Amino acid sequence: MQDISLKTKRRRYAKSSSFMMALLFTILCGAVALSLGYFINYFAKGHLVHGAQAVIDSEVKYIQALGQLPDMDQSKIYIQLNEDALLPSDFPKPSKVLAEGLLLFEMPQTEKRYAARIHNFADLGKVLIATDITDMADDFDFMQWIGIASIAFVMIVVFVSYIISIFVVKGTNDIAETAYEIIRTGDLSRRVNISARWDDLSNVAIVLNLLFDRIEQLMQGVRQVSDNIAHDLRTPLTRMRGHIDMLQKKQPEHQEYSKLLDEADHILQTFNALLRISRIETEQQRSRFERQDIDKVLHDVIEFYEPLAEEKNIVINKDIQPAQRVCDRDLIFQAFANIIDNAIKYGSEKSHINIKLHKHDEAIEIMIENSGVCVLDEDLPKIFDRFYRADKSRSQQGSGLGLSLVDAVVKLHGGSVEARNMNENFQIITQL
Amino acid sequence: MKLLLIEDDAEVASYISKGMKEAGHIVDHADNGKDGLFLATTEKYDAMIVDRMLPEMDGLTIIKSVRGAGNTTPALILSALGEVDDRVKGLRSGGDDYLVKPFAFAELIARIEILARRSGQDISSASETKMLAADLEMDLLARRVKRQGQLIDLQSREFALLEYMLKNKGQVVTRTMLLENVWDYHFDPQTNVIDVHISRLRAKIDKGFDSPIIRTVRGAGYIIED
Repeated sequence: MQDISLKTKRRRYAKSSSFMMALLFTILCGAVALSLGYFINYFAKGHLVHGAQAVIDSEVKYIQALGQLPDMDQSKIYIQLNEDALLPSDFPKPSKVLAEGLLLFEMPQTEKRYAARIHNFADLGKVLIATDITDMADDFDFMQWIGIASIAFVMIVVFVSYIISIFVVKGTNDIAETAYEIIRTGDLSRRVNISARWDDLSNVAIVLNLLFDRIEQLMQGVRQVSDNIAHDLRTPLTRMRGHIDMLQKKQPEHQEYSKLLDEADHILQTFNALLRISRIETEQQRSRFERQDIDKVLHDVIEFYEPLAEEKNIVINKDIQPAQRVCDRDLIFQAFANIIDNAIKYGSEKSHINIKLHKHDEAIEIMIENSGVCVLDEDLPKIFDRFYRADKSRSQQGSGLGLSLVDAVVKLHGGSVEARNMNENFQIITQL
Repeated sequence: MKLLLIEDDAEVASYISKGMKEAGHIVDHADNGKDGLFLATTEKYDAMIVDRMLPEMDGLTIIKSVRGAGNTTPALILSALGEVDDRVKGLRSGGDDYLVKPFAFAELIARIEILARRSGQDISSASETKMLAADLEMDLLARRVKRQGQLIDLQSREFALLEYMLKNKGQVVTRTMLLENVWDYHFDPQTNVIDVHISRLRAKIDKGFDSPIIRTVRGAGYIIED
C-alpha cells in the first residue's frame, strides 16, 4: 500500500509541470554553461598558444638576422642543443605539451613558466627557444577556473531547482489532494495544511481554506434553512391534521377529508424524515449503540420486504455471512430498509435483487444490487443528496430522502456508502 | 376509562382531551409537573399520558415518583421530536409506552386503550395458552391456528402478527404498534409493507370463510373482533 502510493507519488511528481520546468531549466542552463565553459577554455588556450608561438617566431627571425644567440634575460632562454635534441640534465622536464612542438616548462627556482620550441637553424643547429608566459598562463588558469566555477554553479542551480520543484509539487499536490478528498467524501470540514506563510502556494492554500470555510457555511445555511422550515411548519401542520381528523370523525361520509389527511401525513412524514436526518448528522448520538448481529438485522429487513417483492414478482437472492458490529439496531434496520425499499420500488417486474454481506477482516461490506434502475453515471454521487430523485418528473412516490438517511446513518457508524452502475445493474455498497 | 393528561402545550392538550372525550373517556388535565404529580398520587386513573418536557418537574421524574410510591398506573410518555429520542431511558424510568410528537390521534388512543386494558387484566388471563376470535382458535403451546376445526398453516411471522392482534382483541392496533411489537424494530417504513403482510395473513385465515377476522380501521390500523 505504502509502496504503491510512493510510486504513484513519484510518477505524479515526474509528470508534474513544476518538474518538467525544472528539468527544462536545468537542460538549458547546463547547455549554456557547458558551451560557455568550452569556449572560454578554447579561446583562452588559443590565445595562450598563439601568443607564445608569435613571440617564439619573432625570436627565431631575430636570431636568424643576428646570426648568433643573443644574451639571455629573465624572459628569454636560449639553449644550444646537440644533434639528438636532448635537453641538458639540469633543465626541468617539460610539464605539458601546449600544442604541436610547443612545450611548457616550469622553472623551480623562479616559479616562472615558459613556452619553448626547438628550432633548427641552418647555421646554429638545434636551439631551444623559451619565452616567459607566466602572465598569460595565469590568465589562462583564471579563465579555466571561471569555466569550472560556472559548471559548479549550474550544478547548484540544478540542485536548488530540484528542491524548489519538489516543494512546489508537494504544495500543489497537497492542495489538489485535499480538494479532491472534500469532493470525494463530502466532508466540508477538511482544510489544506498550511506549513509556511511566505510563499505563493501557502497564499493559495490560505485563500482556498477561506473558500472552503465559506462553502461550509453556505451548506450549513442551506441545511439550517430547510430544517428550520421543517421544524417551524410541523407544529401548525400537526394542528391542521388534528382539525381535519376531527372533521372526518364528524362527517365520515366525506371522502375528501381522508385525502386531506393523507396529504398532511405525507408532508409531515417528509418533514420528520428531514429533521431525523439532520438530527443524526448533527447530534452524533451513539447512546443506543450495542453489539448486534448485522446479518440478523439484514435477514429481518429482507423478511419484512419479501411480500412486497413477491407482489412485483421480484426474486431476492441472498448471500449473507454472519457479522457482528456495535451499532444502533433500529437505525441500521432503517438504512437497509430504505435501500431495499428503493430497489423494489424502482426494480422492474420479474427482476432480481441480489443482497450480499461479506466480511473483510474488521470491515463489513453489504452490497444490494438490482436490475432495471437507471441512474446516469454523473448523477451517482448526487443520489445521497436530500430531495434527489432519479426520475426527474418526480412521478414516483417517495420523498427523495431515503438514501440521505442511509448516508447519515452509515456516516454515524463511521462507514461509507456509494452507488455504482455495474453490468446494467445498479449497486449500493455499504461499508460498515 | 379515566385518564390523566400532563401536558403544558395548551393546543396539544385540548386536542387530546377533546378526542378522548369524543371517544367516551374522562380526561383530567394538568399543565405542569407539580399539579400532575399531585393528581397522579391522589386520584385513581386507568392510564396517564405524560409529556417529557414540563415546567416545574419533568415527565420522567413524575413517573419515577409515582412508581416509587407503588402506583402501577400505566404511563405513556410523549416526547417532542427534536428532544433526545431516548426511548430506552423513558421506558427504564417506569414508562410503559413511548410516543414521539407529532402523532396521529388514532395512534395515541390505540396505544392508551391497550395499555389501560392490559393493566386491567388479571394475571391468569395474560398467561392463557388458547386465544379465540369468532370461529378462529390459536393454540400458543402447540403453535397452531384452526378455523372451524381446519388447520391453517402460518409462517412464524404471520403467527406472531395474528398472536399480537388476538392478544389485543377488540382494540385497534396501529401499523407502528405492529412494527414495534411483532418485528421489534422502531423504524419508519416508507411504503405500506405492513398492509401487504396483513393481506397475506388475511388470504390464509379468511380464504374459504364467510366473515373476515381482521377488520381495517381507516386512518388508524387493524382490529380483530369476535
